[in-house]
Amino acid sequence: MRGREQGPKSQQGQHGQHGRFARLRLRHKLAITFTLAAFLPAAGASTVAVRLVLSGLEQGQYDETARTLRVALNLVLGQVKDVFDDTVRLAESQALPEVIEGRAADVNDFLARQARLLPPGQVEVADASGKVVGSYWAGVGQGTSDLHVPDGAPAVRTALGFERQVTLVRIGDRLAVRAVSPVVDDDFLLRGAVVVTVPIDTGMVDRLKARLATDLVFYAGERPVASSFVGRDGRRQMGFAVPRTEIELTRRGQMAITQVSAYGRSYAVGLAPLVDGKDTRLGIIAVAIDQENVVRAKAQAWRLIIGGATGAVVFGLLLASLLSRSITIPLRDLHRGARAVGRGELGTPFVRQTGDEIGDLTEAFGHMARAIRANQETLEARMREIETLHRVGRAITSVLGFDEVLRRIVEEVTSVVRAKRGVLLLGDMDGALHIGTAVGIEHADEIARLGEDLAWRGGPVLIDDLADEVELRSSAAAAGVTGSLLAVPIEQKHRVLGMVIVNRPPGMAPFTENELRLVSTMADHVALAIQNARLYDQVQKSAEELELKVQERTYDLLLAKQKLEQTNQELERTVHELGRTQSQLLLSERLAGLGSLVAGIAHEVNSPAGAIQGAVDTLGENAAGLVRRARDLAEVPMQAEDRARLFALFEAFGPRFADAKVEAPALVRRRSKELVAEVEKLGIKDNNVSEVCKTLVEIGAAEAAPELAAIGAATGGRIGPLVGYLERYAYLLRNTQAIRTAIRRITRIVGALKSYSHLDQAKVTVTDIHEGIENTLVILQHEMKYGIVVTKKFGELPQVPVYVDELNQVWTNILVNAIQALRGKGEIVIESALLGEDVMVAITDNGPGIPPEIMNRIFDPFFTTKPKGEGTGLGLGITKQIVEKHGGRIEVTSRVGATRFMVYLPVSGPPQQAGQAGQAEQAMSGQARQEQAAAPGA
Amino acid sequence: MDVLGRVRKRRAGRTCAWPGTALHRSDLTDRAFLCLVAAVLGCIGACSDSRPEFQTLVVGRAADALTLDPALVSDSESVEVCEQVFEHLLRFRKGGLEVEPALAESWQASPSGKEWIFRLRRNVRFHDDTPFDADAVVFSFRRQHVVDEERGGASSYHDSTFRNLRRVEKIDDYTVRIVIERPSASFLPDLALFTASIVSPQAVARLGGDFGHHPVGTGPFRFVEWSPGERITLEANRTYWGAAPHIDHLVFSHIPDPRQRLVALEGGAIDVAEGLEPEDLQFVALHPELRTEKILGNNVTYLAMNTEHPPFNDLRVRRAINHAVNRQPIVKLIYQGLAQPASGPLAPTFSGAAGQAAYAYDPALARRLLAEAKYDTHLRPKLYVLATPRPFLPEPERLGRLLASHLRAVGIEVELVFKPISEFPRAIANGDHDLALGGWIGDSGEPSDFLYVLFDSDNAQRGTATNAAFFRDPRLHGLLLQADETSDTELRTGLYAETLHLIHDQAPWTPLVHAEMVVAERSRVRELDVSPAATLYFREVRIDEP
Repeated sequence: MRGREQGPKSQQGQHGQHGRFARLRLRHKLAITFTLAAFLPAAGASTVAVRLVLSGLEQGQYDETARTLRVALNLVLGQVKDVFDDTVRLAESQALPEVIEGRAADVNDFLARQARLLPPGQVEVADASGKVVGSYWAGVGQGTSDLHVPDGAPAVRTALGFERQVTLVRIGDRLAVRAVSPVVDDDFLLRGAVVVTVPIDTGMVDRLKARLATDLVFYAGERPVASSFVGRDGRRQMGFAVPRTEIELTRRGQMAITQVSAYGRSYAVGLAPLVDGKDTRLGIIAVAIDQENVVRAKAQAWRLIIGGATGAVVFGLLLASLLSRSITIPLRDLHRGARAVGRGELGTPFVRQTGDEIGDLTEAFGHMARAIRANQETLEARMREIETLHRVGRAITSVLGFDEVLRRIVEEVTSVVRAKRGVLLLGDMDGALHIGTAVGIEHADEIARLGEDLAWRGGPVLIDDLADEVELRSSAAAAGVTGSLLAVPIEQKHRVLGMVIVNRPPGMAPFTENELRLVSTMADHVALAIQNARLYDQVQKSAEELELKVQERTYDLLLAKQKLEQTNQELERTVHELGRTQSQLLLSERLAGLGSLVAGIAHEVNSPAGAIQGAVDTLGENAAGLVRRARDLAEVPMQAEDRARLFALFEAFGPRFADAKVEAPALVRRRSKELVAEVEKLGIKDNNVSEVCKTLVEIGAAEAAPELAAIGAATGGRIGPLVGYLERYAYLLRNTQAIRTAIRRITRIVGALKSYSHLDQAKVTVTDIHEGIENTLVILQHEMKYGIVVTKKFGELPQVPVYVDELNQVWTNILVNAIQALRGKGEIVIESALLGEDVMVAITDNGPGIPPEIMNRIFDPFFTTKPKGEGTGLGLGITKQIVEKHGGRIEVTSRVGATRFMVYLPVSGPPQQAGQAGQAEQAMSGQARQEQAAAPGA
Repeated sequence: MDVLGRVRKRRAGRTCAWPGTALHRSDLTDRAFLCLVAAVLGCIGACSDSRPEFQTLVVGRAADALTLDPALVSDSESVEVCEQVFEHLLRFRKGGLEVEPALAESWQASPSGKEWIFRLRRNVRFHDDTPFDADAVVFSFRRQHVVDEERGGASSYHDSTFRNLRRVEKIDDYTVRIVIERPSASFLPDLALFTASIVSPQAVARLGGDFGHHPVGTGPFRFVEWSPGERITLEANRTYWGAAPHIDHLVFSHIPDPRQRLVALEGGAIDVAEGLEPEDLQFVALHPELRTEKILGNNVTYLAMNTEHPPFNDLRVRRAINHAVNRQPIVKLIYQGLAQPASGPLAPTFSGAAGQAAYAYDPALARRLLAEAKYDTHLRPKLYVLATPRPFLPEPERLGRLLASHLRAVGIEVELVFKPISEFPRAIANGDHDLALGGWIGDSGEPSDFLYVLFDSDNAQRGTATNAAFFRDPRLHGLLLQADETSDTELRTGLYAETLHLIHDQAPWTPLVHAEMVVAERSRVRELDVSPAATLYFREVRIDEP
């Protein structure tokens, strides 16, 4: 309820947003729009027209006034020029100086004679002292006294300063043109002056008007002094007052143009200031142009424009209303129709009135309404069908018996398609049809025959009128069926189970395709019902069969179990053999390793053995030599005391000989030379004393020389026999020392071998990892003594429980790989560290590295890069296996110049071994022990 | 325009009132409509408000130009046009005679004062789009010099500009070195003269002899058309390096009759009139829309006495003549007031000339001096008069007669000999005269332009003399040389003042007047620049709207 109440409010809100215009009816909007469309151009055009016409008029008037004013001004200046030129001409008259001097005629007479040439005003002549000597009025009418100049007046003085001048002057209330000129004789000597004053009066104004054809007014200051206006009564008007703003403009020396109403007419008036030559403002000149024509033209323009604009607007309004009507009437009809359709009156007619878009819309709307109506009808039919189907479905799924279901279906079908008769035929095994159930059927057998006839046609059959069907006519008549007929086979998996037939007698509408489809759907349901019924039977049968099958299977299972057990036993055997094979493989790999070691070890043992052999060979020689020397020594006559000293010396030096270093020959020569000098000093005179000394130095007994020399000196001056004996003695001791050294080396190798193979350590032993690595290095010593440098960077490691001999094989394999990779030259770095719970040993060589493509295969068994026969390919595989057996892991990284194997072993030792693997290992170890024990002997 | 303005306002008010009454229902449409109306009215307003598309200034002149090639010009009409089209390295400051940068932005002299480095303005183009650079400068100097030499140095203008010049060299594209014979104070002002105009080398090469009819420079105006005897049309150079002119076209119209020029000016056919009759200027003064612009010219009109011819070698005679001349009637009658009485050879615009005293008009003293000098009244000295009217000598015949009358008044009878300009300088140079009525116009702001040329013994050689008095005074020569080589302005002014004093004392001349230059123009023509040499410059001219 609340939602409904809110609806209109929110709608109102939207209206508010759209503004008032948006809420107007379309008719009004159109009217407004069209009115605007008509009004705007009209307004624009009339504005433009008004402005153009008026500005044209005003500009024209302005221009004309300005032009006239300029012409007037130029005319006035022309008058001034004339006055000046006349004045100058008068002053330059040849006779004038004479006249002024009084030597000729009277000045006034002279002037009167010249009258024709004089300017129209007061002409006066002064002499060189400034005294006015002649005066003549050359203008129209009578001159006035205020135009006279007194003696020595400023104008006269100007002329007497040789200056010719013309200017405008203000004399009392009047304006005048005044020209002055000096009178100079041929020698440029000053003789007098001429002053001419021409008043600006009605006479001048009339002369100007005659040339300008416009009226003029002269103002002295702001007061009119001369005007050309003449009233209707023939009396001259004084002229109109000038507006203040224009007076201001002229006061600033500018021209001004304005409009003035005077004497009942309108005038465009141009005003210009009148100034004298020194920019003093004297008055104003005004030209007045009659404006009646312009005013009339303006009024006419206004009338035309306003009339035109109004007409345009009215026309626009009419057009707008007509247009909006022609658009809105069809729209209104359409709108009404649409609302009727909205109310559900689908039968509302839509008549197309116009050929425009609205007409199209109307037509489309008509189509739409009709389509809705048809759809609505179809929808209703469909609803009925669906209801029927629903009922049928419920009948099928209900617990009703098979026959009851069939009956219901036939009844529903018959009623839904409004048939008079309905029958369901069921087929038996041999294809014959018989009545399943029927509605309104009297001749059951005949109808079954009709059904068989129909079945011949295959598929659903729709017959509008049986009377048209020649083939069926007889059987139909027999069954008492006439009119329209629908026959739909009941099919399942392309097997015909039966047939549904419905019939309407003649007079009723024949069946439609829709009804055919509906009946077909029904038929499917029937098929389903039949299937259900049949399935139930099968379920019953299957339950019994299942019982039997279960028993059979139980027996089979028992058999299978036995077989499985057998297989299992075989499997166990195989596993066992596999274990043995693996052990053998491991063993053979280790043997291969050992085999390759043996050659090296043999060499290692051979060289000390050779040394012993050599030592033993020379031993005899040296012993014989010693005997000979002893005889020589015995021949030396010697006191017992000396002999005792001598042998004490021998014994003291004996042990030193064994370790004596062999000195460099140069050193030997130097030392022996020194020794010769020393010995000879002590009284030794052997003829081969230098030989003897050399021998002493060589055997490292130079220190014994003083003692020997002392003894020699006491026994006949010779030390040769003493040294000879000493030499042999020294050699003898060296031999024994060599033998001892060789034997010690052999002992060490054998010890290492023994320790390496740990023949007695097949079990987990807590040991020092470094020891194992060191032992391995000793074993591999011969492989890398030429050119491979081993660097050890051992960290602090705890004792770790390991299978010592197997771990040694790990080191061996990794090191052998490294050595082979280095090909005799390079560096191997062995690092160790304790990393958390693990001991880490890293062995790095700077060889060419492992190619990336084989990187992940190197731990595979039987993978090798070595030529056939050289390696088993098991080395690294076994290594990995051994490390993993210790609960550790092995990693490798490789690039050129740095291949690094990292072995991680848990500090806690290998995990507890269980079962056969451990035993197999034990067995293998045992075997290996026997083999290895045999190896040295071989 | 004021009337129209009011009318427009009223109209606008009225149209705006319409929509409000017609459409009071909808604010939105109302507003839109008003906008539309406003736009329409705005358009109309804009259409009718446009100012005249082109502003043209027309100058009325008495004579047409003869050529527009700055290498050949000497008459003032031609020079005036050239000065709008061409520029020089330097120019005179507006209305004065001090130089300021033009095509050269800066300059520098060597300590000896003989070598000058000029840095040229960049990004300047000739009217034919040729770039302005050092090559153009070297070309122009060489060309003007060569043309000058080809004519045998006939033009005293070019001769005086280039006489001292030894070399013009390009240092780089925008630097030029000029080497002169001896240090000279007039060197920089000379470079601001039309004779030193810079021409487009490309245009000269293209046009050859026709260049004088199709000048191409860098100036504020470019040449458009020349209808000989009628008018020369120039247009504003919109790519001028300085501020472009305000006016669009500049027309020099040939109206020989001065009254016709006045009428044309009054009627609005021309905006500026040159060379009006002095008397007619009164009418200009009476016209509210016209005005005159006067400038004291850089000139002098003089009566020179040939000091080589007795009795004018007698200082007393020379002084007597000075006292005999009344300058007032000369100014008023001959010059119609458009001149200032001269007290010496230099116009008062020179600072050194200020305060210079003239010999007072005193015929009695003159007679007394003549008597002292035992002047022989039977002598008939020849007064040579330059018979061709010049700016400084508008009515030579009348002035000659007036002077003769003045001299007669003190007892000196002279014989007037009128010589046209084609013969006068030679006659003077040969020293045929006893007295000479002539004049001189200075081009540069340098006093030596007057003093050296007109008084120095260097220029008193028969046959080439410009020193019409054949005045020889070693002190004067020394002073002038010293002044010319002194760069300190104050010191130089002092030296020139001393020179003027010497001339006054020795009275080789009776200085008469300094003629004034006058130009009549419409009042709405503004910023017209009239140089002391009477040349008009239109660079900054604008025309106010009526």
